Amino acid sequence: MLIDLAGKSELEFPQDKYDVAVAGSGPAGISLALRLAESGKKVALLEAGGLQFTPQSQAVYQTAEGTDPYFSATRLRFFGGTSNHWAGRCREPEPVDFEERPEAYEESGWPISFAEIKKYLAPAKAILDLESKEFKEKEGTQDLIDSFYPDLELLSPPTRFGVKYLDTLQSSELIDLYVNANVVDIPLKEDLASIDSFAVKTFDNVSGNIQAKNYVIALGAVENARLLLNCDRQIDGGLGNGGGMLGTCFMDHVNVRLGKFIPDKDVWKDGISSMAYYTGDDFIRSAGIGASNVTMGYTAKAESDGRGQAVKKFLVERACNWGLEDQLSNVFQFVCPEEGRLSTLTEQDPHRKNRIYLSDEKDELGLRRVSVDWSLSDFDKKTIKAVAEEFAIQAHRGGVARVKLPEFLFEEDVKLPFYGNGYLVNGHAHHMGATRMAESEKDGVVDPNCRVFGTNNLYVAGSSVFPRGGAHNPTMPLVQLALRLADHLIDDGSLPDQEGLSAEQELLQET
Amino acid sequence: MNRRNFISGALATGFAAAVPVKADSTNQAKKSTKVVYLREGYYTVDGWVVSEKELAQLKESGHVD
Ligand SMILES: Cc1cc2nc3c(=O)[nH]c(=O)nc-3n(C[C@H](O)[C@H](O)[C@H](O)COP(=O)(O)OP(=O)(O)OC[C@H]3O[C@@H](n4cnc5c(N)ncnc54)[C@H](O)[C@@H]3O)c2cc1C
Repeated sequence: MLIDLAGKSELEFPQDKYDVAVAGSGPAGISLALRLAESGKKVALLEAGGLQFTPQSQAVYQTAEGTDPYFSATRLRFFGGTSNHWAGRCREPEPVDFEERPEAYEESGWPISFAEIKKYLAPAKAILDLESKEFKEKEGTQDLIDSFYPDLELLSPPTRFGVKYLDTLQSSELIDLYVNANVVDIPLKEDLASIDSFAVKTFDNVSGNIQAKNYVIALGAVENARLLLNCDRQIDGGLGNGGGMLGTCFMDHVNVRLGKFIPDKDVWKDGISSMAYYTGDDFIRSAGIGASNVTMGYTAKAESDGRGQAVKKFLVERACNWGLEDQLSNVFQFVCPEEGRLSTLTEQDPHRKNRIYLSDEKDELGLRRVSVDWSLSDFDKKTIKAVAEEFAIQAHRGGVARVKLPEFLFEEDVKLPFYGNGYLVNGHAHHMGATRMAESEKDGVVDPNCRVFGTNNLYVAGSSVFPRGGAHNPTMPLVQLALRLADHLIDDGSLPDQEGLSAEQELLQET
Repeated sequence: MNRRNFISGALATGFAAAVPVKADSTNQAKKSTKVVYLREGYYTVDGWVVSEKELAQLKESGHVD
């Protein structure tokens, strides 16, 4: 059933009806709600926005002054969430991403095994319209580069969750889909560990509370951390922040324009325009670095588009001939004819300095806006440099291409985002971490079942729980994790264990 | 030879036919090159990755000081 809260003068929710209340209707929230309903659970799915984009809802995502607008522009706040403009690229995590590797990373890794996620690959592929497809390398990619192997990917159509699943949700007898339902607080019961309700507010400033047995927030990585941080009326520092980890270890994948290349004509035959590679396990283990995808894109002719196409083409040809392409790249993007560009999707270190925290500025609903600290750690710089050098050398040895590395690789101070001399280092719109999964609250915010430490029945779905980002796209694995969480909630008839409760909370529960 | 192809062109003509060099010796302006040690056996010349042997050849041919 679809229930639109816009324009209501009061909010009344059914009592004792719902097994699970899920906030957020992006890929995580919708996948979870559907799986729960398939098993007979009654679900309230609460979406802050309406069925369509509105500037009013989107404005709630605005970050505080001083934070790169990238963090608001790369999320969408309406039904279907950011899947309304994701590109659909899917890649599996690698088993090596689940290795502890304490010699390389300071922070803890996944407390669950690769197999735990792999179990959910087939149903996640079905959700993403990929059920009959296998992961494939880009056509034409040659297995000639040591330390790297041809990357394996799948392209979802891309599935727009709002468009694809609206009818199913609307006609479900077990799911009530509420739109224009902003979850603005998560009040606790007297024991300070059990969730009392989700506090819901509309843009008409009407409020109400919805109750369920279990609660899940699936708001995207930035917003999951932001809401938990904002819930600090009853517990200092917000929910799940007993170990001071809430908001920390935020990650993105780093998009590095690694340089250019001149293709070897014997290898780049028959109109091949791109090849994609992925770091081998032995290489990243021995170099003590993170994983990376490296994509080679090549164009045979000067190409440009949009207005002033002819003028651009003229300028590009002149600039390329006279070695001024780096300067012109600052004005608009192009690739010189007969040349290629190297781009990457590189793993970022889960680093405590990269974090989401609250500012004093408030949004229309009264929630404090976020600031984001996001920089490259020494580990990240080491990864980028090692990947670039190794790739350039191996591409040369394998006779695939001659690579020109950018100067910034050899400079110490590369900030994010970085735009210099035609080179670029920025994010991939893959927000991860900030409510990371760990064995205990000293290392994270949620336990291996995605339950928020210190609470009995509050869970987090989405890539915010990733303790490490690997170099795989986040959406398919976050759907896998959402399905795993659904199974946990379906099985969970018993009282949750008490791990992660503070002494104060345990005392309250005993009395 | 135009400016872009000064090093890459030299690499291409000298060691591999990777780059179509539009030879125009009248227009050839020699510019100073930057050589950076990368790792054993490898250097960059103005960013282009070359082997030690290729660097020696570039020096010999006068492309690198
Ligand atoms: C341009 C672009 C391209 C991308 N391409 C890819 C790609 O190729 N491959 C890939 O794997 N990933 C890609 N991504 C990332 C992908 O979109 C996200 O990983 C995915 O959408 C995250 O799903 P989610 O459900 O966790 O969060 P979201 O999709 O962000 O959904 C969160 C939902 O929560 C709702 N919400 C927020 N606050 C509240 C609140 N207080 N109360 C109730 N509801 C609330 C929002 O309105 C939204 O519907 C891309 C992202 C962008 C921006």
